[in-house]
Amino acid sequence: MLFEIVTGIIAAAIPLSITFLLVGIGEMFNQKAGVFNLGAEGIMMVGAFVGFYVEYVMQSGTGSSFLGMIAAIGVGALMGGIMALICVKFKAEQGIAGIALYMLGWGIAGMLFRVYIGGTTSIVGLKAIEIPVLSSIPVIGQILFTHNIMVYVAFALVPLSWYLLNKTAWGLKVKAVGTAPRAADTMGVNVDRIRMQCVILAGAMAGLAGAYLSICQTHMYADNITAGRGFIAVALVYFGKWKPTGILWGALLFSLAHSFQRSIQVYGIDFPYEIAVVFPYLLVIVVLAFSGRSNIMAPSVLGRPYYREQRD
Amino acid sequence: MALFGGLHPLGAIPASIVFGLLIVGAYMMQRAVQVPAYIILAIQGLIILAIVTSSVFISKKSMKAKVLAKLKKFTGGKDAV
Repeated sequence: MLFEIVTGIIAAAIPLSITFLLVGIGEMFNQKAGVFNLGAEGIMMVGAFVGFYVEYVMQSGTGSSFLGMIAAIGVGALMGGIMALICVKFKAEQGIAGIALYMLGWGIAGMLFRVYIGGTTSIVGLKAIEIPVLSSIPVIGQILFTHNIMVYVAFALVPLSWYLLNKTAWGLKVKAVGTAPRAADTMGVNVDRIRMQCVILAGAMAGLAGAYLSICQTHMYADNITAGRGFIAVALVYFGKWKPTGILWGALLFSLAHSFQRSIQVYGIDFPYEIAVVFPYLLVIVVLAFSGRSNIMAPSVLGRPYYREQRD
Repeated sequence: MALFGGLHPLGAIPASIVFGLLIVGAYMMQRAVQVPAYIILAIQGLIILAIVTSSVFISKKSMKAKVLAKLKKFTGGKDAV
């Protein structure tokens, strides 16, 4: 019995972690380039709504789910473009612009939802699939091979983004722009262009994460559906020390705590659930407090715009 | 909000009054003509984005001096920033 519960908790944690993973990897790219994007949460909300709406209008099974996600990526990239324009081109204060983008995204998503949908409606969305042979392996099968296809796509993005960041010329430029923009500029790297590319990429990833949330995870849209996940993802980037694998572990740890908290309510274990709800967030604070060296790993010009004509 | 008030404690008062008015107006609008109150959240976001972006254009020296002089007059001769 206990063994089954534990397996169930772990199996439920994996799809939960995907939202954090997708936003986290996107956020890692723009922080590596030196831009601090707090607006991920707002972009996620717009992405969640657009994905949901496309699926809701099309009503044609799997194809419309993917179309919804592609639409969400497009809208996310557009919102990322706004952020890039304001923070990179106009060199505005990044933290405040991020919060403004969060409000903008929440407002737009909430308004469109009220106007076009109104009440709570559910969609079919992407169902979890059981991979034929592999899913019948006793424990590992349930944990690893009973999820929807986006879970595997997201996990594949971890090595892909590592490769992109460490082994390609573009990735090295990104890192250079985030640690020594003046040196990168001297070597002929267009600092602002690389930063804008990173912010737009992060926006697209956040839009996809939002669409994952509404299409694959909850199969509906509700007001404030993201519930702070975008901000947690920013914390997870710090926790993961700006590495894709670190973010993966952080996302898994956090969603494991979340899933544990949920199962306490489901199985009716005699434990005050109010405390259990706090548990994942407490875990993040504790872990962040004890990973004190993470500031050293941070991109050194994080949050500072680059002025080409000025001295440092 | 602090930036909106020109980074001055007194500036925060009119800034928060404006945002408060927006929120109250949003709920009134929702009751009267069924426009979702969320629209105000989006508008507030846009306002803040515009303010944040405007600081770039103000940072030109002459503009900054002009704005500071105005603020100084407004706060009664004390240094504004």
